Amino acid sequence: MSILEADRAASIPERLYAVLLRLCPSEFRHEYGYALHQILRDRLRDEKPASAGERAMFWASAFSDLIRTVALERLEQMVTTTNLVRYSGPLAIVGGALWAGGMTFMAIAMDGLDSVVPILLIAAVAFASCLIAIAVQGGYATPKLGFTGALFGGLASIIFLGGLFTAAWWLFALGLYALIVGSALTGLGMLSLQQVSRRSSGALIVASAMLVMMNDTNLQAWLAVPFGFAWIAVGYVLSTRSNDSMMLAP
Amino acid sequence: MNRSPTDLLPLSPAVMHILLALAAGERHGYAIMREVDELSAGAMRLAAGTLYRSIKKMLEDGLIETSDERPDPELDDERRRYYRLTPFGLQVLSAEAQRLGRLVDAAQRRTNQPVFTAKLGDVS
Repeated sequence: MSILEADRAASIPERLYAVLLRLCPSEFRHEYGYALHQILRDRLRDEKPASAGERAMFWASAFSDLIRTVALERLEQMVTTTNLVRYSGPLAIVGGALWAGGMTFMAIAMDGLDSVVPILLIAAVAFASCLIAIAVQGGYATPKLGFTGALFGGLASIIFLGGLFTAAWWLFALGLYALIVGSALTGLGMLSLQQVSRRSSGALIVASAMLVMMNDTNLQAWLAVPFGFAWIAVGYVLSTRSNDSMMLAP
Repeated sequence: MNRSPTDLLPLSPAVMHILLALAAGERHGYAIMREVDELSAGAMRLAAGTLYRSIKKMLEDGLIETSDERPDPELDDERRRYYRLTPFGLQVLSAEAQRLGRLVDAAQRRTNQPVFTAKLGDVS
């Protein structure tokens, strides 16, 4: 059967699959779009899903795989085109410096978190960008812990931001704790890689643990400051190493 | 940048299986999927998207390359792309196999019995 004939004979789900393929970034679609569609045809030919249940299972797996591929490729493209990977180090340093400065001010003034919200807002954007860049960068050395932590921390920073914007303190607290867990997991992931300085990875883990014990109304406010310095250390390492050495995800 | 094969370890299961499938000779994407299915006795089913995202990364890292030799268009779709291992890819596969071998040895020593025998015993 020629390709033209095959196109004419395509079922509705197969045509929908072809339409959804167009959502892939153009470079990926150009390189692998035909191959993805061809594999679908090969599987249809070999597996011959006959019953309604078999067809439903077949198309559910095909579409879920395609949607996942589109999402990951788009995310990767976004990070690459915005040069997030390249700027992940400076972002971490800026975020860390703002965080450390803001929290030091809060600890001295004893005014609570309210007084430093705008600074934390910018720091959270920097952390989120850096964590997402780390998560998306990819590679083969696969401490999944690091990948999960980075992605989790990046998303958590967004929740944290949502809390700040909406003044929903439960959301803010949820995001903050998720950011702490994400940062600690990222630190553990970097530690297990052994390609990134142990000191900066360890500092991020310890500082994340200290942040859990922070209280913004008394002397315990100082416990939030090292988190900023740990991010500065991580940012320094990211800035001075090649992109290849930060491989946390498959 | 010169990389040592061990720099890329540990490999993800998808990459390990693709390298293993290509160690037997060059193949196109769907043939790789079927080979992986056979090699793992159905335990590892590569999705098409995962396969090509892995292939993209492996090409970038020099583990595999596209083959210039085209099959006879009468026998196969000439638009299919064939892939094969590079010498570096073979080194990485070998290094990962050695790493996994050491891990299995360690597991056998710790459990005081061959890992695979223990697994078979559990099933029966």
